[in-house]
Amino acid sequence: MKAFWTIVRRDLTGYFLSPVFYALGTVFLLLTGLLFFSNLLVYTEISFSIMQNPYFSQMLNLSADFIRPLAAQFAVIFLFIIPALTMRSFAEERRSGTLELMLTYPVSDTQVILAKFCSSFLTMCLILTMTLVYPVLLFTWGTPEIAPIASAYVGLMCMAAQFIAIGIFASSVTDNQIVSALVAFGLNLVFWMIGWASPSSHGTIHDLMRFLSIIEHYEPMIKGILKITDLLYFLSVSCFFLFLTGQVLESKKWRG
Amino acid sequence: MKPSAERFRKTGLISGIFAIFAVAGILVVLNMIAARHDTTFDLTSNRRFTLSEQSVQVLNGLDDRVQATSFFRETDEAFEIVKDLLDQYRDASKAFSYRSADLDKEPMLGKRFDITSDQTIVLEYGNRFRKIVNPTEHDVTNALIRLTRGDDPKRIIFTRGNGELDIDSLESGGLGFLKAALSDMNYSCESMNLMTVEAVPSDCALLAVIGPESDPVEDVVAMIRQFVTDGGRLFIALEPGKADRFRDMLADFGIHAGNDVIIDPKGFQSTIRPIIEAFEEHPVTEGFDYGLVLHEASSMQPLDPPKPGWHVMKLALTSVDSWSEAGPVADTPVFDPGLDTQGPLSVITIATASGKTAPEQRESRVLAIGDASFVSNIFFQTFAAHAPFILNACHWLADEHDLIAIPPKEIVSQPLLLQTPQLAVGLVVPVIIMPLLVALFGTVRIWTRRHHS
Repeated sequence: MKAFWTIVRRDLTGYFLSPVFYALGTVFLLLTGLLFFSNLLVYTEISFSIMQNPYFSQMLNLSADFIRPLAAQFAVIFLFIIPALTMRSFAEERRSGTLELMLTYPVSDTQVILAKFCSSFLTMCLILTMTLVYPVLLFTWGTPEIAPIASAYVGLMCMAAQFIAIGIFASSVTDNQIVSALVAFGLNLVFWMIGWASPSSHGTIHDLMRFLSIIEHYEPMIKGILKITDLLYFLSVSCFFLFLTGQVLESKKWRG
Repeated sequence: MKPSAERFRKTGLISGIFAIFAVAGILVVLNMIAARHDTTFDLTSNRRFTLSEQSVQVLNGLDDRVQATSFFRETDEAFEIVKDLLDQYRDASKAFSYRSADLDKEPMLGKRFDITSDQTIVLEYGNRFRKIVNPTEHDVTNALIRLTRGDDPKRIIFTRGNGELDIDSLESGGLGFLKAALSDMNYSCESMNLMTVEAVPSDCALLAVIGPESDPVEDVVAMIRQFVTDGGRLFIALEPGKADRFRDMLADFGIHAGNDVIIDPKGFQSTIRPIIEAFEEHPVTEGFDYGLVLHEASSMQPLDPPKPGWHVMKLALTSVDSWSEAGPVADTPVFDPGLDTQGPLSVITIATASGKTAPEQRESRVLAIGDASFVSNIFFQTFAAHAPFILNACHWLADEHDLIAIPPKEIVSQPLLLQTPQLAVGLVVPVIIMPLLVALFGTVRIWTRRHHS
């Protein structure tokens, strides 16, 4: 475990000393901040316009009409930000030649992969923590339900975990960071778009597309619904891509 | 290349592929097992994404697959609401599935179900199907009950000829929404001028007299009286000061229709719109925990002394602050102890009696409301609790006990009325301060590192 934490610490230090982390953090907070403000403007406008009609004002709810769409928009930013965060995980090590050196350490491939995953996940969680200022602002102005907000954050963390696992896998197959980011982005898009056709399909294909679709599992969470199957989906896909990363590293041994 | 290296490579490749498929298989099996024993936590305050127990019971009783087709466009405001609703049904039962359809892309599907406009869902069960416009949980569950039972529609006759509200009108004062809701629940609704028939048709499950403006001829009153006495069912809603013959007729069923107007100082936007929140226990009000709003209502009290043979019950009562204004209503009405009657007063009353001449001794049932606009389109649509209450009343009157009313889930209203300074905070903190802090911290950190090195 000592070796595991050493790699985590090394990678975290690498992130915090790199301008990439601060650039990503700044861009992420700028984009989410703009989304928060534009949603806030629209919500306030609607609030004023429907206050005259008691029936419609009953239908305006912070969880349903503010937090849910905002969390859905945050997820779109993840599609772009996370590949940029993970693109250097293995690609940079491979390019600089430190990957071979690291694999000679008395540490298993699994530990290396999990450490990389853990450091990227902690970094993403740190960035996400900074967005807690939005719910804090909402609580100062109104009375939103806390549980759906917590559930939405669980959803965002699950989605981040899956995208990071995919990003680490993409980073392991190439030594070019741009290619790594593009592969990760493409794979993320596949999981994003696969559910789009499911409402018009039938049978096993319909079930399979629904199961693989990240949106199908993310949407309930931003509504305030936590399902064991959704949590297991994110865990399964993340584990599968980390396992694939292990297989790529393993293949170096027999590919020579 | 040496043969042993080639063999090593092949072995590595095969074992790698095998391991990938094995892990994928294990994960798929794990997910399938979890799907069979899924646990859901609805964290919303009023569990608004959880079906009612009644709906779950109906779903558990399905012995064949139900295929729902949603004809909603993604741009429709109700698209998300309907999707959330259908998701709940699909998650609650393996026998329920749904798909989305676009009328423009699949016009034949629309023709098959005779659908001409969006915002409709179709439920298919075996070779039967039912259409629901703007569905709620209440509508879907009752459509499922109807589909699985597969019986003929019951007949509801609305009287006309004395200025009653029009069942085909979609104007604010019409009954078009009520008719649509009843038709969706497999009732056959029609209007009839009773002067053109000799008796109320024997297959009439429910006779509705809603808001007559003028007095009917005595023959019509006698016809309705006979119908009810023979075990018929009557739903009557009268406006204050109108159709006195109908008022007098109610006395035959043990109900005193007051010639007054209910005043409620805490009424909805006006003292003549009393809010009704007190209900007696009855199948009509079972599980009902909402408020009703009436407009210029009159009292419907049990007759004193009671009418022999009739059991009369106050169903809905006004508040203790309300009173019935006997005279003309002033702009600012004041309670006059000498003339007016202090609340609570009954505005919705039911009367039952054993049917006298019907062979199966069917129970006579009357439900009288001291306000007709209560049932009209504007109130039916504006106040979400009105529809389940009225439909429950119709189910009870028409002996449709297994049809149920599921009140809509109340959504906590949370408008944000932010002023300019608050909006400025909403702009400055998330869009400027937070990103700037991270950028500044990063710049200082990297600059310090470079400076030290």
